[in-house]
Amino acid sequence: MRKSFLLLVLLSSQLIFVKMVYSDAREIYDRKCAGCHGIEGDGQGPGTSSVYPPPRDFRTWIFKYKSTAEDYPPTDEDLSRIVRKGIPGTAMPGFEGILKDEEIKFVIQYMKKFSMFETEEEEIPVAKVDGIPKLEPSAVEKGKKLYKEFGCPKCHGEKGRGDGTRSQELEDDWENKIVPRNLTKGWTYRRGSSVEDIYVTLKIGIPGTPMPSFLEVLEEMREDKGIEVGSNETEKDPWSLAYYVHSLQEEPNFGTTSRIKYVDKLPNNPEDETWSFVKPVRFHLIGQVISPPRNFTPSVEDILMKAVHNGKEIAILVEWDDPTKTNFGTEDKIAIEFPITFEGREKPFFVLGDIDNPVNLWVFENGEFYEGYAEGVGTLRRQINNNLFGSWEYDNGRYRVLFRRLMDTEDDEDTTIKPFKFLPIAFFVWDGYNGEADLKSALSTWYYFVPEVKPSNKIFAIPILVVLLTFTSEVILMKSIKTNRK
Amino acid sequence: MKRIFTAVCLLLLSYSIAHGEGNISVTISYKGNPPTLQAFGVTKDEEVCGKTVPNESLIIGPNEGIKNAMVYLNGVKGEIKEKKFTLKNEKCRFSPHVGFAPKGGEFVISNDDLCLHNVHTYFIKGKMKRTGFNTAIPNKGDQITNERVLRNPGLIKVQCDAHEWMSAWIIAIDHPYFAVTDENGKAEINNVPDGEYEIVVFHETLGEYTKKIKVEAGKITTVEFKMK
Repeated sequence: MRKSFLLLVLLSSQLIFVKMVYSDAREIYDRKCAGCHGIEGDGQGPGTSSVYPPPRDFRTWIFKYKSTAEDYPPTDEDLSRIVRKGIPGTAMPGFEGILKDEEIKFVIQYMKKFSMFETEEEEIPVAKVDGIPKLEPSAVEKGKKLYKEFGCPKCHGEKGRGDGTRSQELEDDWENKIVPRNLTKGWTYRRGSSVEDIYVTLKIGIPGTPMPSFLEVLEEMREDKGIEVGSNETEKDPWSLAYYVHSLQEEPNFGTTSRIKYVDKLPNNPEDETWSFVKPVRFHLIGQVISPPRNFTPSVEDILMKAVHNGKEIAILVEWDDPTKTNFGTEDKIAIEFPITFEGREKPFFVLGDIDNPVNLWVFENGEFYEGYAEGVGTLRRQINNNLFGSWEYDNGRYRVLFRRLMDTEDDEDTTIKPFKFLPIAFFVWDGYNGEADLKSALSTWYYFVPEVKPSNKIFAIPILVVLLTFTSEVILMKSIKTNRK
Repeated sequence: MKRIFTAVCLLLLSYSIAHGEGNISVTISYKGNPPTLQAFGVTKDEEVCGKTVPNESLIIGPNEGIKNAMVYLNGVKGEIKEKKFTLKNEKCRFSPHVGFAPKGGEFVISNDDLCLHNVHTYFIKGKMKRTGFNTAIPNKGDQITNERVLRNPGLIKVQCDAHEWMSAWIIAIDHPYFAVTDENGKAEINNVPDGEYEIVVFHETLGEYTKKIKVEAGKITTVEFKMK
């Protein structure tokens, strides 16, 4: 009798504990997660429509970035890492420091209740790579061949800019549109951009997306060559593809200020040789979400700027990746924004200026270059006097547009660019295919540029002169001291 | 003693008669004016795929018979001898277009084409789909075996992300009582233990239909479905 009573107490206390953990986890989930992932875990929270990529639907229990082989569920450690660290480049924040480790554990267990598929299995193979084989430089060339053979350009494009023929037709498991990664931008790879990270992605694919696993093919390649699994040194071929993809990555060059070099002869087109000697600066773009129509899903995320001047005229080259060339101009479009006057203090409002601080826009649209004037949202108009011209090209998913204008046009509505004076600069980019027009654009905040002065012989002469002068004056001083002592 | 023996024998006999096997003959036809489907225009890899690929999402034969409907029984148990299901990539279509695969068996995919395909399987549960596996087969002659996608019974859709028109429908099943209709819309399920079952017809375009049937030993049960 006493024994069974004890057992009952023990059991009920256990039950109460489980119940407590469950309701706690539920409360945490409802407060911290349900906003996007939904009360029912279906990825349909009130915030869902404003975020891209969309939040995970836990019913399918499929996760893109995990350590387990393709169709196996993730480990608890994988999930807790995502909850702790978040996913860069997405709306998923890290909860480290907000939730305790214990709480994260409970929440993960709670999430599993939503799944309609297995969330745990006895043996889960982990897709791990131990070390990277060092390859000869020729491996990159081999990898380039594999890139074609494996059909990568179909989605990722010939030059890896995410502009393949299939790039705009792809869907994920939830029938959301999904676009292939622009492989030239290593900083946007979700899993990571190292050769090792790329190899893991090739091995297990990205579950829930059209990115397939190449595991079987890669392993078969090894077997064909009689290479033992796990022996890194000779595991050359499959790795060459990872090396090639890695080689496609371009320098991020993110910055805040573009220093504009002086040149004698200004380039006429985007291909001009001069550009290869100019240091580029990349600026971040975000969706315009201040005034309607808002853009929560901009397709262009950054823009690269190079510029030179000859003291009279300035040439600004901008490059950005847009996988879809829609009848250029009627839809795809770019504008560079400058304050008309800038005294080093007050800047115009960055979305088309304000009544006290109007802005000058350099627009390229429909193959045409023209200048615009605005003093706030809704006031944008074409200028009557156009002083702008330029040239452009579109190649394999990349726009390169060259703007040229006099630095001082003596036009009241034009910004005046002076050597050695910092001037704010901002950008608007529209991707027509993404339904972007008017204020629905990608844009940047204010950055700066500064034209450097013409390097002259004075630069070298003055220091020498100063040194000489100091030296002679010192000699005279010493001599005079000596004379005085006498 | 003898009496008991006779009784047992009789009991066994009656049991075996009562638990004989019957056949099911199914006819599935289309109600109304059958639509005409356009073949898919090929937009890539034309040298491999040809100019067009047939649209197999609804094939209606003579007497409005529906081809490629998948018929199976619910609530029956049995062993499947076959432990393997093979899906070919052939001229930019999956072959077979529909089929039953043994639960717990191997799923083998081969590529007969000189271009990249990827076999992307989805588990379909109601309105929800979820990737089973997504594997690239870039080379002609490649063969890949997946041992996990058939681990549970249910409907699987197969697609190729490289060629949007390619699709196949597979039902993972744990008994041998299934059939696929021919161009006349006819299918037979033979040697079914007698009893009462639910018979299910699944068609990729027309959806799922069910009926209650009774199979009697030594007899043919005929079932007709009109779908639209």
